[in-house]
Amino acid sequence: MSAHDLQPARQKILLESMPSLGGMYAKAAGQLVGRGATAGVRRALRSTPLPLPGRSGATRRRTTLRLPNIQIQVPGVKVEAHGNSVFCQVVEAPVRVDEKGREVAFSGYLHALAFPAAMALLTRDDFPLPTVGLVHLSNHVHHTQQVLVGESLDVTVWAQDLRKHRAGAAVDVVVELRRSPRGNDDDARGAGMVEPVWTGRSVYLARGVQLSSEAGGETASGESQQRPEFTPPVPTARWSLGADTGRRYAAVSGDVNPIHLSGPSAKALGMKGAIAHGMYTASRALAMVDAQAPMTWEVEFQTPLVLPSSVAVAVDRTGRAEGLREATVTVWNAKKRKPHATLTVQR
Amino acid sequence: MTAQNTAASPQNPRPESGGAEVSAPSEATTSNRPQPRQQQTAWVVAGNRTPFARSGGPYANTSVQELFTAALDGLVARTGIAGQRLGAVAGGAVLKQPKAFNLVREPVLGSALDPHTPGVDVQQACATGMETTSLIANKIRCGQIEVGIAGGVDSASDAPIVVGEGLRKVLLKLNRAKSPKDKLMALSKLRPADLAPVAPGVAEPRTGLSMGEHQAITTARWGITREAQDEIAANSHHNLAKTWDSGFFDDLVTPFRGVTKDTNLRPDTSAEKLAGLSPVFGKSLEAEATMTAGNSTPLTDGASAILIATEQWATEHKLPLLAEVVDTESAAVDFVDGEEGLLMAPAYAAPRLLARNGLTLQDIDLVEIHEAFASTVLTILAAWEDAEFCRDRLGLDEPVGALDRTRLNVHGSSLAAGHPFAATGTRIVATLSKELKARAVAQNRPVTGLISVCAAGGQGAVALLRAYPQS
Repeated sequence: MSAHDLQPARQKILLESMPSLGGMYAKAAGQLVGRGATAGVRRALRSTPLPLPGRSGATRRRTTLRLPNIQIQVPGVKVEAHGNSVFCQVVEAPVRVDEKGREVAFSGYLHALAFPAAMALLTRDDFPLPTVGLVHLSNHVHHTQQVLVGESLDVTVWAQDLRKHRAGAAVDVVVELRRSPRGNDDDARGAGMVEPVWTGRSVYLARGVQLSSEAGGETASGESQQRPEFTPPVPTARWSLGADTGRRYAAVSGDVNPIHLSGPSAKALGMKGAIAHGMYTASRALAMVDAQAPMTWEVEFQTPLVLPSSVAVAVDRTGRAEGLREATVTVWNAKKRKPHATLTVQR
Repeated sequence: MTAQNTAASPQNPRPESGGAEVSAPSEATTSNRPQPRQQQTAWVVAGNRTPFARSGGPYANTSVQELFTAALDGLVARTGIAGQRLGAVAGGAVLKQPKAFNLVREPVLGSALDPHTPGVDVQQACATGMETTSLIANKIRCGQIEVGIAGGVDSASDAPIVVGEGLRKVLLKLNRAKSPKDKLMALSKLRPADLAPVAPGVAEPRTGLSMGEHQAITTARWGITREAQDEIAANSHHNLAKTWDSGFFDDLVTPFRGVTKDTNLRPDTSAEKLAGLSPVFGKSLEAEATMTAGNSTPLTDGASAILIATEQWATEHKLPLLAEVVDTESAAVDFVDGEEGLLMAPAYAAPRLLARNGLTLQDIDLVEIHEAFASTVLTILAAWEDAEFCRDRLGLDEPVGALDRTRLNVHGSSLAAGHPFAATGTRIVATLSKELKARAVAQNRPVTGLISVCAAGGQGAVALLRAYPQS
């Protein structure tokens, strides 16, 4: 996350505890239908292609959008045993223990743990993109040390690199997790003082949002290029995903985005039906690989996984358990020969 | 040990025996007199099974205990060992209800055997019958027991239905709750969706793919054709039908509940008829789908058992030494990420077993490869002919080689007879032992047979049997 270091110091916004996701989605949804819409959201709405009640004639306009130069910090977020275990149950991850028999937090669960802080950033009035309707393109996680259940983590979140994408505007939301220092040494908190144990960069797309010409674009990982044609690998597994998959994952991750919860709520937001959470797919793929920190994992979401569904899965691993070197998990729709997600793990 | 000694001691005769036969030397399988144990040869001396029936058919209301009791009683009646105490009865079922934790001991108590005969439950998916054979044969070979029964049973009609995870957790919590308030709290967690029952899964737990889907991947990898599979299936039905007609099964099968013959058997089927069926597995693969209901085994109910003994015990009981259990071997493959096919373990187990016994595949007179699917047989045979597979995966300089098809499954196999998972192993051991013996006598030479059974979890069990012209 070196880009962060090059930025002028971000203003620190300290939250006492993790905010409630339900409230933030309600706010975001409220913004969408125009009630209590803020300047940033109004700007966004003008450029979003989503079918909006009463706004069918939304026009697209090139706008100068800026990310707020802030970072949100939530200190002392405890990794709860119950939270980790119910999360693992839903994504079918084995709950692992370290050499002393202490429960280890699942890497996918750490994303869920920090997610409300990211949402707090995305739903801020000065965040320039519409929260509802953001498309999760990919996730890049650098998980350097095992985190144990019962430990407390300091969460830091910021947004960076707002850039052009062939389908709109893309932005990185970066989450860093550090072990909370013991005692009340506030100076020891936050970026710079302690190395993060888990760093995640989520790339989101705001479809149809056009950035002004001075904005950078077509950057980094070739995310803007057309993908090569998908050739399905030989499957090694299958997931039967029930219609309640989104609700089950919402219950353990707290991510109650309506596009995941039911057909009607998803259709109201322009989806074909309820779609699986990207991080459900990523976590379940990661669970199949059963990799432990230190590791780097990345997941790319190619097409939405509409529920219910039976999807083909292919796991390609080099080594197992402690000996795992790298792995790729491909999740796709066998009938339509369309990829849903690809996870890669490096150790 | 204490209990056994007490039960068999003259001071405490078994009530069932009336005391009269307690001291008969043939009665007990272990003597109370100290004596050095000697390595013995384990002989298959008899076999019995129920006719196999497609699930949901004539045995739909029969429990696995009743089925296994029927197989035991038929074996006991045929061999005249009613009231005898055996060293052990080993059996098992793949689909087993939690209350049937003593699946074997219970039928022993309900059978004509001496109730002082211990029962042991074994389970290795479809290789269960092979493992029970191995267990009893090894106890005999070690000199621990003189005689025992190996068997297996399964009934997809009597499969356990369990409550869902949600209801199960609520019920466990309710069970632990002490106060009425805690009990109410536990119950308040119950959701309507928790009440849906869960039928036993046919999928591999780690992959979510059914056995058929796994085999379809292996079938495609080895390029096994639809025609080759249908030919295997047609041969299975024709061979089994001939065997039934010849009366070969008269002393191997006891009618049960009005069923006198395997109900899955289709004597008049043909490769042409089978070619008309639609594929059921592998439809979402890139390769052509070739596996149909006709070249895959159906869910089946049935039970089988064999009697294994020392030569001395068999002679004393005037039973024939059908075939020696020469050796057995198990293997497992890593199928989870698709490195190897789910049902390919026997392809690894058999060459190890042959090498250990100084044999090649071509030395084997009769080969039984369990037909989980026609393509299971064909992929194993193809692997053995493949120099690259034999070099890279088996570590052999030369391929295992081709099998003369006239030696394969000469009395038909699971595609025709059906496949009550745990019962298949001892069905094959009994059939092959009798056939080996007949050939040994007719040809006046020792005749050797190989059995291969694949199993869920990427496992496989193989066995070497040998019959001799004498005795």
